[in-house]
Amino acid sequence: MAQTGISSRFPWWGRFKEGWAVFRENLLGKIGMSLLVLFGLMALCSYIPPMIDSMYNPMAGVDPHVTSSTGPSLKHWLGTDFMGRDILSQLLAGARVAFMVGVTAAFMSIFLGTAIGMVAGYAGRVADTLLMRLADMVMVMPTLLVVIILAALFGQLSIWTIVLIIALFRWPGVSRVIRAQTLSLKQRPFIDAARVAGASHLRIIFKHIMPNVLPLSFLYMTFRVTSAITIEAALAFLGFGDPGTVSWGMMLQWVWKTGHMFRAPYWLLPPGICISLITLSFYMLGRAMEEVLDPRLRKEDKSA
Amino acid sequence: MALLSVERLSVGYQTGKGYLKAVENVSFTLEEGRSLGFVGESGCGKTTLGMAIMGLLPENASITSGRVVFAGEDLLRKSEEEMRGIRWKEMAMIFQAAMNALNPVHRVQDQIAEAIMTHDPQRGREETLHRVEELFDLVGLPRDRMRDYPHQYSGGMKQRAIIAMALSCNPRLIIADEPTTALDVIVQHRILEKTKSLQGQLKFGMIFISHDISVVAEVCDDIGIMYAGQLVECGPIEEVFSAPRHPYTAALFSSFPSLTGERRGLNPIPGETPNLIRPPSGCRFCERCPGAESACRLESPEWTEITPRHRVMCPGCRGNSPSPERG
Amino acid sequence: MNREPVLRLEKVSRIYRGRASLFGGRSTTVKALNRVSLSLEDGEIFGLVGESGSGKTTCGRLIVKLEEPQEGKVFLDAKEITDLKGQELKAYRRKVQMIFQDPYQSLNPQLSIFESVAEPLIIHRESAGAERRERVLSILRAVGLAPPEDYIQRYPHQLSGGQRQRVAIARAMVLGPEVVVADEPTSMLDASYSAQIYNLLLELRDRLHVTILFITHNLAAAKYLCDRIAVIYRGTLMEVASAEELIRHPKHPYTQALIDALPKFGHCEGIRRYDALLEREREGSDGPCCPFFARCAKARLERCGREVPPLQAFGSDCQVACFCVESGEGMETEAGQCYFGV
Repeated sequence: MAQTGISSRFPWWGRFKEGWAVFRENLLGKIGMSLLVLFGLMALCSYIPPMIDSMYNPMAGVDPHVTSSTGPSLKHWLGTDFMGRDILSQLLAGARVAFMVGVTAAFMSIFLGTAIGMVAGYAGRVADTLLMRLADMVMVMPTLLVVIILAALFGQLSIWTIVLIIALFRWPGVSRVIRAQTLSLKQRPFIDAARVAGASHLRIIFKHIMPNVLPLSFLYMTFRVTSAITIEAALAFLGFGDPGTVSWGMMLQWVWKTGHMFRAPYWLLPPGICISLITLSFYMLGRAMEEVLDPRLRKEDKSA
Repeated sequence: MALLSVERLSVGYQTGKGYLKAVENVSFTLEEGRSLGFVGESGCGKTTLGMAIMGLLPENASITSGRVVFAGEDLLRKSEEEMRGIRWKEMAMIFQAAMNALNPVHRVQDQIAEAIMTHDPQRGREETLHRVEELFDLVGLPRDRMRDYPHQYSGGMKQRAIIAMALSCNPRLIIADEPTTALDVIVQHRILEKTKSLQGQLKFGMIFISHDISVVAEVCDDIGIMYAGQLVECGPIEEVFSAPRHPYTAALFSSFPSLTGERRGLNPIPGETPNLIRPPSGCRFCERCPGAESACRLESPEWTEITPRHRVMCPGCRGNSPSPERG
Repeated sequence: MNREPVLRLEKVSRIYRGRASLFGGRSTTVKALNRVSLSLEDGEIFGLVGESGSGKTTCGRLIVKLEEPQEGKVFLDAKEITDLKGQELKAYRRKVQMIFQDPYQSLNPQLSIFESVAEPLIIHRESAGAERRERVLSILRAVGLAPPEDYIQRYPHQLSGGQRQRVAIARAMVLGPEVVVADEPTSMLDASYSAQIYNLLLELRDRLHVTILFITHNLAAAKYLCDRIAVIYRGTLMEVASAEELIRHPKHPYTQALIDALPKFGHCEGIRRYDALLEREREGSDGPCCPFFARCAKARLERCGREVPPLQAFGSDCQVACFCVESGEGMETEAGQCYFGV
């Protein structure tokens, strides 16, 4: 049965459609996806308030009429923080930061983890042992603690440094899984066939193993995003975040530091709820994707 | 009275892509003590047929019509409870790759003993073990291996153990689905010889399902050829082999290379098996049939009797001369 | 025909060494192939027949250099290729290819048919663009997937087992190799697809002039397809002869046992039973002995249990590894006609 149209030019489109059909049925996936779309919109909209009026700028905006934390009003839908800055625009900016941090850190750690996992699985023997012992060592190190120590030693860290450090500490989990998958792929006859055809090791890794391993990588990326966002939020809350960036964790820190925790629920609740919800929605997305990937991975076997 | 009589049985599966008509209107009878082999390629429905008779179809399968009359009673009307009483005691099944069905953490003798005691709770342990010894002798396994674990057995030995288990309650009918596919040639030969001699000795009826015609030829009295869910030809082995009437039968025979035949004598069947979700109307083989006529596509084919025991389902063959010589 | 054989194995052994266990067990050694010598003539289809564990697949893998022998030498066109590396190894791979057993696993599910078949061309930097496409189309046509344009954009899971195997054959043949090792190419296919593949291999051998090593457990298929057949048991060759000769006059007891074991039927009164197998295995001797000694019903000589019989020429066309045959101990054989022909 030939695929026609777009599917024949871009075969992954056809498989994406199939995967989408399964995904759609999954309740978790739908909830997760909708929430993420919501947050995505929030992130996009974060550019709007400052354009309307400079007083809505999340960091520097100052409402001349407001000098302390006030509750929701017509001008400030969620109220203002202790400096008179608009909470809603901070929330929107936080969404942007969450996505940036989450996705970038996750992407980098997956990149690293996949590369190392593939090399370890494919090369085997000494390289495998060395890399996996390295993974073990990195894995047991408590990320948060290390970052705090580094921040204490080197002063405030920029957001991108934080992202880099998260990536450097979170790759082992992925690499184990990718390594296992690579090991099982290595046994498959089509790898032998490539070798018999004369393919170099690099070619086998990139052309044959990687495409079969990437779906798993993407799956793990969703899980990594949750941990990246949580770590960043925790760091910011504890005071080790980037002071120049407004993130939800940073907002929580301000609430706490200025003693408004029990006095300003309109300020405390939104960022807290957002952190919880975004991590939850990425997690749900990951679980739904698992269901999509599993039967398809099985579908690679005999049909008819 | 026939031991087993299947009348117009149709089974289908509900799949993601639609309703798959796996078995369509299959009818046959099996006498006591005789063996009937079902031959066909993958997807022809032979395994589904075996499972339907045993009542072991999966959740998404449904029997749309027909009767399965075993020893005078319609099995399809029975409840699961009643079927459980019949399975193993009256009817036993040997599945594909059955050797993997042995539990690796229990001794072989214990597994066979359990099968016996489950269906005959009166028996004491000692009596049961005595019976296991008898079974071991019967299938040709050495008694001193009774206390071994399955992983200590070779493939052939595991298969014999499975046969012993199937025979343990003296069933009247055994359905064997590709019992020797995973085995080497010599071991397979031994097991088939043993099966045939056991059948002569214990006089149970047997349904033997295989994709390999030569295996069925060695063991069975009668043969049924299945194609795309339909039974297209059925009869005693000698008659069907000497004069195959259905074009698929003839083509199937000529697909097996012969030890003494001519080079390039193989005439493989061109084309592919039909889609069972939207099967062609009429005879399902007509698209690949060299002798297809317009009638084949339209009419739902009916049985034509060649001899009292040999029948064929082929609209094009009605009253015609036998199909062309193979190869 | 005194031309140099296109592929020659000389006393090749493949030994697997298990590691010694931590608790003091000795390391285990398994000889998958034991000093095997055989040669393939140019343009012939040579059958290697054996049961599981006989070493036939290992032999194929050694030839395509997926594994390396511990002993012995391999020659292609009279040049030793046992220790090739780098560019020379790559050049070797152009000339020697393999068709794998499992059509469901030997094609990368992520690659289209075009990509799979073009891969050897890409790796060896042969032709490009339109020319490459043309070569792929033409080889697909040659293996019977016509019109090839219909197939190149498809993916393996959209094809049947028989079609996938044809694609695997196309991939093996696209570079125009000298030798192709076919490792049980039909054992996972239905009868009608298998038959198509056999005829295809015969056709391709004639058209493209390749030498084919056909590895199988099915003696009947080997008889149909091959010019010569070698029977292998536990890593050692037992008998090598022309296909006709091997089937009609099998000399080695193991070959006879294989022929006995093939299901026969019908008016087979002419077919002889060789009864070459013992009901129960004999007690093995610790030292060297004939590999088949434990099961052989025809082992009449003392030597059978004491020495390993070498593969020796017997008559003009045969080689047999059996002391009893050598000494002419009454091994008269005759095969008759059988209706179903198996």
